[in-house]
Amino acid sequence: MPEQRNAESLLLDLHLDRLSREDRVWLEAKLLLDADLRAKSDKLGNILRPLDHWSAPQPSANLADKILAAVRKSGESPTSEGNLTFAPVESNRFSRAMPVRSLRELFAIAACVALIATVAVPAIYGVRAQAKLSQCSSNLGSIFQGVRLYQAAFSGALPYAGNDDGASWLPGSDSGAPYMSNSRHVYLLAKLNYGPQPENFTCPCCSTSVAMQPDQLASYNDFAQSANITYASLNMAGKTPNHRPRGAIAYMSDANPMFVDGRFDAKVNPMSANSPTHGGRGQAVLTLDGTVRQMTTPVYGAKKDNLWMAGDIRYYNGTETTATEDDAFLIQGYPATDKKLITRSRLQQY
Amino acid sequence: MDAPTDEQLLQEYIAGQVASFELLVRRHSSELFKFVVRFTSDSVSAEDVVQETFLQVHTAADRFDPERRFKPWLFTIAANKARDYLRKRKRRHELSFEANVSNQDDSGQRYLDMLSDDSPESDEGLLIEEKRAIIKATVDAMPDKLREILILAYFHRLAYKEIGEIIDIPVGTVKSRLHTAVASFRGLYDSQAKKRSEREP
Repeated sequence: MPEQRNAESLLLDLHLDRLSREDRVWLEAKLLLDADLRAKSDKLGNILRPLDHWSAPQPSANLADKILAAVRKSGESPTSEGNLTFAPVESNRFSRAMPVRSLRELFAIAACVALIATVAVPAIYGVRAQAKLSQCSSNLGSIFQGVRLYQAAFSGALPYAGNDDGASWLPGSDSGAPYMSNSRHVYLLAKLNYGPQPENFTCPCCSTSVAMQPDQLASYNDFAQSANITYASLNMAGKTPNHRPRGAIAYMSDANPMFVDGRFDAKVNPMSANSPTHGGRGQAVLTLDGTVRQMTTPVYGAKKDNLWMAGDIRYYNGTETTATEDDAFLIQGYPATDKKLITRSRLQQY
Repeated sequence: MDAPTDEQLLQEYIAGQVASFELLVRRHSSELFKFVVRFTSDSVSAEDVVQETFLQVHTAADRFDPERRFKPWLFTIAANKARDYLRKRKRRHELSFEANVSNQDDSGQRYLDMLSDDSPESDEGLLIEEKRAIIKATVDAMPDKLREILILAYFHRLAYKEIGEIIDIPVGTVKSRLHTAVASFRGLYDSQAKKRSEREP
């Protein structure tokens, strides 16, 4: 049965998504008719499924910078293959049996444990929180590297995925305008391979965030769901989006507190409110000179511009845009493919 | 609004544009790290391997054949360096089914036999964390050649032709070795899962 043998050989290609369209259609038709072949296909799927749990750790945030520094340091001298030196591999450590201790020693140990519980544990939590803040800043730094390279490739223009005139950037508004997500623009940095990885778009302080899967990037034109992007970015809506802002204005930050789940919250005071991502204590802000700052107020720069507002507009329905070329108006994107938002929103123009 | 291709960037770098090399590094370093760290199971050394790989790209850029694709070339360099590292670590596993790698006809038969096997799944009822531990033990026990091809085909979705270039074997051998890798993964995974369930009270 050469055909049967051929179909079985193609099953792995089917599961690895390597078949041409014609072969896939042929094999899927065979699978419908042939229960034995279908059972084998299911078997193969079960064999491969555990591989999905084989996650790889992330490289350190500054790996690319370390590589570039090493290349700069090396100059033009050739690298001789096979003579590499690697960091020594750390050997496994095995625990030793505890020696017998006196009662006095045990009291001393108990006192130490109590001291650690009252002093060191809060300190460790503080260290962890600090590490998350650092990672958040590092994410924005990585995004800036991508922005810089994008600008170099597109004559200084910021990432821009196009816009329909009059579209709304707020899914849960009453404007009646068709919706277009603002996150499509920064998504280009990941999709077109300008350096930022999907995990760079999620702040580690946001417990509900989920990094988009890298293999999804090519087939989407925006993040797959709101949880994939926790940062707000410069509003690029309107007829004349701010492609080339004047000065080192703010470009990205943690989420704008005025917009929650795609709706404008008029109760929030934009003059004093900080991002909810860091518990309202402050936000990481990336400006276009490449600086990332942890700020405890939404007002920044010599001109006292407000991160959350377009000019001095206080009420929003999703059609507002930046007021001037040096006005930062940062809003988060709500990807249009996010099923949760689609059902929540009253708009049907997705 | 198409981004420049890898090959264009390398040509620009050879012509003196340093930013093009930076873009290549930022574009590929994370994915390359994930390949090397899965292959070597050592994240510290994986960063060294990735760094050495880009250093070699830098010094050998003018020897790159512009008719070929950049990514397989990059992965070839990284795979060679990762294999050097594994050789130095002297932790290659000489398992009984290693012989199947060189006997491609037998391995193909083993793969097809495996699909006909109707025994129940050995990891039923296991928690995800337990499955992760079993996978770690399984892939660590796989021969380097089989682990390498499984990673390239399953996680990096490289074309068979590109995998053949990276490993330096014909396309036909890529397919049969991949079948062997899947069969090997299944066999080792089952035995690890059974060992674990026997240890449970």
